[in-house]
Amino acid sequence: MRKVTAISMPLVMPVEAETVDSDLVTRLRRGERAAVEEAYVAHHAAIRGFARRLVGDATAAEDIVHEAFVALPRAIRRFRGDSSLRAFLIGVAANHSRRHVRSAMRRRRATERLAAHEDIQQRTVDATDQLITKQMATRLWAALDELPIDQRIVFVLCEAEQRTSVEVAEIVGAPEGTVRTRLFHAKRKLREKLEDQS
Amino acid sequence: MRFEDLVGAIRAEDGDDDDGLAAATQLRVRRSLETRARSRHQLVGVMTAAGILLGGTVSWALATGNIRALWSPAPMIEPASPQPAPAPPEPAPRRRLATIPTPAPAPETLPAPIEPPPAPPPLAPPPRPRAVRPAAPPVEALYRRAHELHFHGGDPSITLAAWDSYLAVEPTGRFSVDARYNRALVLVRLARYAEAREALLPFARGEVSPTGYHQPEAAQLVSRLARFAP
Repeated sequence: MRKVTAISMPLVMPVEAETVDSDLVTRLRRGERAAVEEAYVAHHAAIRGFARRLVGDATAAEDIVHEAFVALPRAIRRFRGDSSLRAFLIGVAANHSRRHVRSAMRRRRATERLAAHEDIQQRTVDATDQLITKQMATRLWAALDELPIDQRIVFVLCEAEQRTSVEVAEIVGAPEGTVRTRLFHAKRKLREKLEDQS
Repeated sequence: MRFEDLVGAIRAEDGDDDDGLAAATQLRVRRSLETRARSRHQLVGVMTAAGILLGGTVSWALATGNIRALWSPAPMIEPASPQPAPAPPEPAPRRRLATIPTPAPAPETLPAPIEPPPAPPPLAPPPRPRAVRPAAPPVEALYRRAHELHFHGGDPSITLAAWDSYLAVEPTGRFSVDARYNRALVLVRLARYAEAREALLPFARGEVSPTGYHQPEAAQLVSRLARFAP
């Protein structure tokens, strides 16, 4: 996990839409397994990052990544080339994330007390820094658990991944206005919940 | 604690910190795809085998005339009631094919009074009981028996009785035209020329369906029989 200082780094994802790998897409449509491997190598980090930010659990995130790439040969039939392959893959991952969000939520609640005890053992500055980041993230994920999954996905894509509403609309397959509405309600609910907690 | 700090904490989760985990997931993906492809190939194999089996069965049924047993076996099955012993065997055919079993129920449906032929030459011992085809419906068994007698050296009078038995049960069935034509030929063999000519006339005139069925042969026979049975 990166340190808190990493927050200030520009994390805007490069716009890949203009560089759609049409050859890779063609091979994926032909059902070539080697093409799936190539897609994994090229895009797994982005998918994993999204999945982790969404569910807040490394195991559940790996399951989402796995399912997204296994589903890719079939899902690629729906790909029209309007967005990048990476954005399309994130959309596939989002579609497979619903039950993983719930399982991650249950796991997070079950291990809350244990994690609190372990955190006391942290001694170094870096470790303490990471601990603070983790605690903050855990607090936000706990608040995100209260949101509907569609609002949660839009919040993570817009706020945590800093994607534009146009991009997010392509990923989730919803109108841009819907994306903005979901984001608005998500932020309002989150602020309310976090204020209640503090 | 500011809201933006919390968001920043989630933003820091980039998933780039564990190459081992990424490699393990890549391996999982590969295995899942291989398993899926294998399952698809197995499904294709099973479907192909099933298609071949079905095609073979239908071809066999068409070739052996058992198509009725395939499509409508249920109505054709007789209840397994105790049957009387078969009628006393008539003079037997000279030879038979061992590969084509003769169903047992056929003799029961033969008409009781069978006129003895004018001079039935005792050519062979009575027919031995054959393996029973339990699934064969009676009407099909009748046809098979008559067909076997007709084409494999059966006594003409028995063959005629067999054709009559079949036609009595199924006068307009799938094989009735064939049965009527063969019956007419048996009448020729029995020297019952007038009856044979009368039976062949519809064929010679092309009045049977399918039109033209054995019409040239029937016409020739009718013209020859005219000399004996005007």
